[in-house]
Amino acid sequence: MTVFARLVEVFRTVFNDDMLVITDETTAADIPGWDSLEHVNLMFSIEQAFGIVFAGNELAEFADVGELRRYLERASRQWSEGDHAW
Amino acid sequence: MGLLSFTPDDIELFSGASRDRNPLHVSPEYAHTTPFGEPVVFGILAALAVLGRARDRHREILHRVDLEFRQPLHVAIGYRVEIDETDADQTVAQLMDAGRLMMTARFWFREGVGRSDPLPSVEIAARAEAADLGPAELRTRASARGMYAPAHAEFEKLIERFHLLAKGATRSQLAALVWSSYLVGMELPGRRALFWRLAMEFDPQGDECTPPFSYEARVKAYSEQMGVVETEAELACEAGPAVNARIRSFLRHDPPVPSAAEVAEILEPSERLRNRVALVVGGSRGLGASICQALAQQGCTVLLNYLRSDEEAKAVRTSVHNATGRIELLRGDVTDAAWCEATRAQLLASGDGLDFLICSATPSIRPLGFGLESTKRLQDFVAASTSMVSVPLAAFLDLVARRSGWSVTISSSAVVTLDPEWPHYVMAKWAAEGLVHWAAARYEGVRFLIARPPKLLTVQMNTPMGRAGAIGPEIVAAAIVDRISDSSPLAAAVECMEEFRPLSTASSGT
Repeated sequence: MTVFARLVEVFRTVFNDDMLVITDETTAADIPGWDSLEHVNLMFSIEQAFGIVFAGNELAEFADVGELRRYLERASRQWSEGDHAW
Repeated sequence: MGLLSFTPDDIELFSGASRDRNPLHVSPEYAHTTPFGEPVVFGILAALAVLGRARDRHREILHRVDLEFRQPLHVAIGYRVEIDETDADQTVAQLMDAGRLMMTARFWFREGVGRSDPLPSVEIAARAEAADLGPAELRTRASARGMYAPAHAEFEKLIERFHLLAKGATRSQLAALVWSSYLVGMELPGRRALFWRLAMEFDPQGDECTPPFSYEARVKAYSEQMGVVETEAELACEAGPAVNARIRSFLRHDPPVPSAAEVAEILEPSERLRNRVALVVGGSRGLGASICQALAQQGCTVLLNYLRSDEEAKAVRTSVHNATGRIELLRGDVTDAAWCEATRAQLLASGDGLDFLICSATPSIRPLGFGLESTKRLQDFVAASTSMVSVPLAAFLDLVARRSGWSVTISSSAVVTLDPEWPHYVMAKWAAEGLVHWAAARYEGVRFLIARPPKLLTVQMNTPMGRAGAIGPEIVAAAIVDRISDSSPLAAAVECMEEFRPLSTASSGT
């Protein structure tokens, strides 16, 4: 499963909407209910799903889903490289 | 669907029944040190209260509960209850406040008949004070286990108070719900907890369970940055398992402590303000405290005014004991004209006068929706907030004029960013700024400064998302004190500071 596909799964679970459409351009303003608490819920769920830990400032810094996806792809690449090193 | 409100007695009754003595709910003094300002109503208490508003269910029994506490609830506010029972086996309830969703509760029922007899009265060795687990324990997946029973008499009163019989939940199920509050507030994570979500499933055989219950709980996941704790827990009795629960809570950060060392790092200590006197309204915490520290480090004599935070005020005074200036504590209600009059008389009698009047106090800023049901709270906030500016300006501006001093009023970038949940705060800050502009046209000789700092890492903003992107008050305090230590001409009749950059003067060698 790609990073983006996994990310879409997390969004759909968090916002309780199996039909939710996510694109790189999606922002908080596009999804009803994406307030600050739901943002924490989303970021916590992403941490659990991807096995990562966001740094403090990163929590509020992603301008759109595309930025978040690229961040997660970079993090995924780092794991893979780490895995090879083992 | 009607309104639901809570009283301090409700909180006390629930606390007694559940044995949850978490200070966020039962101690006004402790709650004052949190962003919520006042005690928070127990989430499970609110969930039980809305269940009591649901329709009666005969030959049905609760088998699953899903709760989300989205915003803290407080006493004496009428929350709108909206209940949807379109699906026969579900009750979905929401608490709303001026268009804001405060809590969602979902209850699922199945066919069955639960026990209706009272639970036996059982004494257990419950905690008298909350455990206080921190990041270190949570990172290592802390766990908790013990015995539990609600306090019998108070539990029965709670059931009666909120009409909880005939709602499909047995007493043992209601006991399991109040146990979850005890678990979060007293055990895991305990003192610094803020209950967020609960998913609870009742074992079909669990209705035979009676106290004492045994429980086990363990941290399943923890995010230190967000302060989110996810816990799995089971409740059982001799007859077998009763409940599986999944819980999310927040571990609240300790209140930020104003750092004199950080202020000194940003603004090099000096004696630029020797023989000057400043009155800082709201100087015990947050930006006001940092301003007191910065002034004292420039040689100023600072009268630190505060109302409630005695320990914090003393700590601010102690923090600058090596400074060239000093801090004197001046406890009192600055919105009280008589107190201001007496303080003014003291200043005149001592011959000290006043060079700086700095208004930095604000009431607790709890988010607020905008609607007919919230306008009274909006007006009350604006009145309380603006009186922390208007009364001291009325009392002391002429003293400042005699010394050709400064009037500094702390506003906020919110007047420009117009944060959606702060209509009261935006209105109050604009009102304060308006009065400052009016005063500037009439008090010749006074130099007027309005500061509009961005989100600051203070007690008021000490929430998981509030902290994100907040800057230290030390940065803003240093910039303000640097400006009022400088005699260069004002940029306007009322100068407005909106740009605050970290680490400016001392670190750059100026």
